[in-house]
Amino acid sequence: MTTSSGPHDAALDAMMQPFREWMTAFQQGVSSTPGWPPQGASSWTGSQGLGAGFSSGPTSSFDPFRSAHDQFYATAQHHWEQLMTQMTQASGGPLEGMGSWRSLLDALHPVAQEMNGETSEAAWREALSTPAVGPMREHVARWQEAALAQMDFNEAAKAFQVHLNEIMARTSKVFEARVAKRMADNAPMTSMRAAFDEWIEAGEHVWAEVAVSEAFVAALGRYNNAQTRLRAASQDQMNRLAESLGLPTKTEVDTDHRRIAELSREVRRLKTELDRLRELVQKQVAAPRPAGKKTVSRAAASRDGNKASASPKLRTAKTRLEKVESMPVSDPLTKPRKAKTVVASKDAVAATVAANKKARVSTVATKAAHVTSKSTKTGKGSRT
Amino acid sequence: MKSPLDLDTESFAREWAEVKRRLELGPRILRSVGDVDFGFSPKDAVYRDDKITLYRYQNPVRRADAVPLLISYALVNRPYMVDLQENRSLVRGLLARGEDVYLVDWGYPDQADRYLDMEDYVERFLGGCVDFIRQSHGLEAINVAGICQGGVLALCYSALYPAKVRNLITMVTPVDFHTPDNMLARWIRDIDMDLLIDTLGNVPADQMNFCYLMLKPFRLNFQKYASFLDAIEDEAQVEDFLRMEKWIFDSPDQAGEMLRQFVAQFYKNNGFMTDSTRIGGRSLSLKHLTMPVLNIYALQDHLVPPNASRALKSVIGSQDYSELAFRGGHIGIYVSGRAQHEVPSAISHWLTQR
Repeated sequence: MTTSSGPHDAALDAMMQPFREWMTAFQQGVSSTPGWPPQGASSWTGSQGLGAGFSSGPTSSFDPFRSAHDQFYATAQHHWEQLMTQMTQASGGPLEGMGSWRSLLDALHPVAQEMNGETSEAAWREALSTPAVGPMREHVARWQEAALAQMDFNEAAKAFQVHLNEIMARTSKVFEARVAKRMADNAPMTSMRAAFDEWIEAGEHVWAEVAVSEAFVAALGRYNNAQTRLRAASQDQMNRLAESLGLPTKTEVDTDHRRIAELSREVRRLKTELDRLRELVQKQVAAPRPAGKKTVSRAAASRDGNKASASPKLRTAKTRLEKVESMPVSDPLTKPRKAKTVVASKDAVAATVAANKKARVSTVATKAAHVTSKSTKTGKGSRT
Repeated sequence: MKSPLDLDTESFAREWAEVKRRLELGPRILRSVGDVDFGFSPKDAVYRDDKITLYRYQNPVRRADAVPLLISYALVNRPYMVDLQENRSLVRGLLARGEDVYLVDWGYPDQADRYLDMEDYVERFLGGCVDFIRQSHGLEAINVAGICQGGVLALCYSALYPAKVRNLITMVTPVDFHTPDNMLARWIRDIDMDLLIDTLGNVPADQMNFCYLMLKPFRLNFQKYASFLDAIEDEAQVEDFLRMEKWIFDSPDQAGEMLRQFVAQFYKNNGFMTDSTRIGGRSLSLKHLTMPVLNIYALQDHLVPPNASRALKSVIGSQDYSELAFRGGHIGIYVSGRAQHEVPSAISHWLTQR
């Protein structure tokens, strides 16, 4: 096989290598079939087809094809496993991060063997589940948890791989069945591409069945969760290392991000509510006032004979209260309430204003009601 | 006995030689095509909030009576799929029919965004875009089109603020997340999303892409590339393929809290069907969707099975509900040749009647 020339030789060769290996394996599988003519034997006219010439042995005419298929399957299985491994470690993988844990486990292995007299994962788990004591207790507990997470991940990965292997094995059987049907229907495949497409269909058929089965879903969940726990343990260790070196940790940054997000949401909600209230008040201010209506406070003052001596703040608050109270009852901002208009003495008003300042009453209606209710308690007012 | 493979030695050798030739040729052609651009129709950024950008497409043939149409795409992929290239553009089809099209681009979340949740995306971002368009046009309500997960967000928003949405279009949008043929929903069932989000923060794009590829692993990881090899000598096809490849793998990470809530509310609790969806503490029900609704779904959609979309009919309050069943897949509904003829015209025709 020729390769291209130029500055990209090495990269191109590296990229092409897996395909070359695949094709070589397939060709070797085919060429090792009994009765197969030597490669390049162009003298064989080929009119007898691929199956011809195999009838001399005790095996069926399907056997050579099966042999070729088995080679194909073995190579595909290898590449499938590589693909799965690469993809599951796509994000850098916890296995690298937990390499030190594996070293620790390996180092402790002889100890466990000596203790138990045999290699036993159960013994490991028991040892790692033993509560720690002493000042390093919390740290030891975390390391134990991380080591157990590593063991859980190994187990879950193996269990998941069993399902993937089963899928490949079943694909092979379904592929055989599909091919047999073609033979029965007298519709043979006329190219390797057609054979490849049949294999794809077989694979998808099996995947669609197996990938939604309870066992597969449970194994996938277990594998995923085990990987995440292992990663969490790694991250925790890195976090503590960073902290010990005086570096900002992920936990700190996450805390800040969460606070910012929550504050941002709160501000947005407040702004939305403020806009709504502003719009409401603007509508009311813009609404024409009915003719002949006096301010309630002045009317009350003239009836009671008390001069309205309310402070400007009180007058403003009361006016605003009237406007708010005249809003439609269905408006969720306001509740139907009876206007309690009073005339307050100077002292009472001053005391109230001071109290308001202290209490930092924020809404208009609340200020007016507060002032009004305090004056009512002093017995100096009546409703109009 | 006959052989299952009707292939003589010479044909076999020829076929393999051809495969080898194409494999050798491939890298040279890929280098000559180079990287591809995407996005055909010119647009202007008219509004921004944090990482999201609202675009308005330029349209010299915009109808004076066109009510603005805001497209809300999914968060899991980039939105330029709706305007991928000149001959594969839903947007171009709508613009040609005089529509006034806006698109919200959600951007690329990073770990600073891990605590953005559904309230942020629905109320702040999508709501902010809707309010901006309403105010700039002086309109009480606009048209909204949601695609896939973007359709879920659009449904949530429209249920919370029905007065602001004049007409609603959903495209390949899941409503019932518990249909038996939903492989993704089955897988998520046993995954501890709280552990995942607490550990990772944002979920990496690679992990999401891997998940989608594993829905059809043989076709999407092997057969697709064999077919690409068949077309390797056609530069136009190579460009199209590369553009699709870029879109498929140019995916944003998923903001952690948003994904946590999305999975919990929909994949686990099937919120729309059980009326249990809550955004920012507010309950919402699709019964409050009283505006006209056009629901478009794809009959060969393996990501959002047709039944998952069709369920919308049974849960909305609108008296004006229409469906369009498109013969194609989840992606084909935007990029296939048939889609260019059918989908924009159907949408525009439906809108102009309302």
